[in-house]
Amino acid sequence: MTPERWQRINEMFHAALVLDGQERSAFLVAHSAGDDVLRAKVAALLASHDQAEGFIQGSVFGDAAQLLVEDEAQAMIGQHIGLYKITREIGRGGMGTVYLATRDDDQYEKQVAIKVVRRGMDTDLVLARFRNERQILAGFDHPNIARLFDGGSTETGLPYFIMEYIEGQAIDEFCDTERLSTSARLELFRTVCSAVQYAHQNLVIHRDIKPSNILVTAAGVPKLLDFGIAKLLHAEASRGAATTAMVQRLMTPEYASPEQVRGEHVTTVSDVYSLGVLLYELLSGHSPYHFKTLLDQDIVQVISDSEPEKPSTVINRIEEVTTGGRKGKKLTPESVSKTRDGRPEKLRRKLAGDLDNIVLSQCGKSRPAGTLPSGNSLKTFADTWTVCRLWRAKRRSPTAQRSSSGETLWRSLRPQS
Amino acid sequence: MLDPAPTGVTQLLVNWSNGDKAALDEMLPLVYQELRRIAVNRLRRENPNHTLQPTALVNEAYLRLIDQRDVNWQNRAQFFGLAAEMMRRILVNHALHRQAAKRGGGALRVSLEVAVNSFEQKDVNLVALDEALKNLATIDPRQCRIVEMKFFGGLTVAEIAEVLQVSSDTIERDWKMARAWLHLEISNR
Ligand SMILES: Nc1ncnc2c1ncn2[C@@H]1O[C@H](COP(=O)(O)OP(=O)(O)OP(=O)(O)O)[C@@H](O)[C@H]1O
Ligand SMILES: [Mg+2]
Repeated sequence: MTPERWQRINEMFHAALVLDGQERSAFLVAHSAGDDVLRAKVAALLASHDQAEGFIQGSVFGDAAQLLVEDEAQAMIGQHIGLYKITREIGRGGMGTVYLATRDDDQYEKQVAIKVVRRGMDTDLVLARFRNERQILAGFDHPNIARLFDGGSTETGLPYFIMEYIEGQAIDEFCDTERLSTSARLELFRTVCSAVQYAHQNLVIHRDIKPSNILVTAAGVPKLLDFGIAKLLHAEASRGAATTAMVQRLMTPEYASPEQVRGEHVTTVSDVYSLGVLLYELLSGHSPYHFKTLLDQDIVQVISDSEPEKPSTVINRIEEVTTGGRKGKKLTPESVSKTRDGRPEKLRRKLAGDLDNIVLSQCGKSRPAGTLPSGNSLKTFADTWTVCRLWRAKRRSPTAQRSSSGETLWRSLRPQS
Repeated sequence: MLDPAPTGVTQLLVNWSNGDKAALDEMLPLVYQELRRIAVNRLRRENPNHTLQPTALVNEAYLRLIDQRDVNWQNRAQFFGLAAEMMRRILVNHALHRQAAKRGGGALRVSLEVAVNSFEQKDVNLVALDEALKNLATIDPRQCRIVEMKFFGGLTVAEIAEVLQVSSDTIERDWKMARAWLHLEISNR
């Protein structure tokens, strides 16, 4: 198109723009001097103008700036934090980004994971809380808890935490790739419980127990991540001021206890609840709770009021995993049993009875109330282990299995309160 | 406090405006870094949900990077144009990645999803818009820049008029035409 022609189109367009329908057509005919292509082009532009009302209205500058800020993560690579140099991004969660970093002293090379908290938190407040808890968290010494080494703030003012780097897979994925049987899963779960119990004895609540926070090494050792971190990042939530949206951002609703989604006081019992959800998923492959929408009231309603299906029957369902590392995975009775105990009937038999009861008593509606003193929740753990152990023993000896029904066994072990 | 600004950007800007294309390539990453740094800083200083004021942000970068004694208004206009173009590239690249990730079924990073959802609400296909803008630039470079500065760069009509040193009426007229033209171009695809 020549500049002259473009100029002409522009002039006609603007002149016709102030006219309405009838006049417009007449104007175009009168001024296009028989050039039908020109007339059609201007007419099309006028029509387009009339339809383009909301088109590219406003600006996307804010979105671009947001991306600029997000890109800070990319800019972190190669930077130093304390004695460590950031080598790559490991992953992102709701509260920040985790990087792999190496310490390149002459003596030794050591890898750590550094969690850099996302922008928007009050750095001073987070660090003040960290200083309060530092003694306890840094003093944690348990083979199944990833060590927390240090904390501080980056040059750009973001809080960070330096942690033991764990090379491993999230527990749910590990169990599936290794095709662990129900009893092997229980064994692994028991180890996880012992780590949680250790922390509870030291008066630290995890608050965010879920598969991405439990990595299993190639040697099969589970390691809990982020112990105590959630509290540093959201004391607001524990004060009851948090909205559900905030809790959601801080934790995956699937694993959050009723008291957590309601923004109420969180105790060790809340961790037990999340462990219950985890066990439900490890055993059955399915989530106990499903949300119609992620609206606050739906989440609160589902978690507070609905009773999950029994693990032994939920495995009959055909559905897709909607969150977490296994997102998009299709679940069928066959796929779920194949990575566990072989055939669906076999898995169903293993889950029915005791395991159904144990799991639902922790993440279903009959769970101990959220306000029980911590001693009771520890007892619940102990019960679970005992039941698991007895369950395993029973399976080894068929006579024992017949002599004691799951129901009575379970009732005898239930907290009496 | 902020680190000292990189030196030499002024010379690059002047060289670029005198037709030195290589100067632009050298300048882009410096401007990018500066914009990022200011965006991050402002979001930190002000409250986290604060929305950035585009002109102020770009102006701050301009004042920090460019020695005012050695430049004229055209250089300033070029700088604002450059910033808007950069925003366009950031967004279009991101949209392309997102398309690729969707096709490949790859998991998206949640944090970025937040940013992008808002265009989907605005219902603009950024990739198609980018293509159409490229065509518009060959016909009417100024109209293309106006769209860039307004839609991607967040400048108001008055600010664009000031940057380009033409009247607001001219900007309004060009904007109307450009919008109709782009809309037609995209709906004909
Ligand atoms: N110390 C660590 N060693 C190895 N990988 C880690 C470590 N800490 C976190 N990761 C991994 O990095 C990713 C991001 O972790 P992050 O804790 O930020 O998010 P998340 O656990 O998915 O969610 P949340 O923010 O609720 O904790 C996860 O995949 C996690 O398993
Ligand atoms: Mg985590």
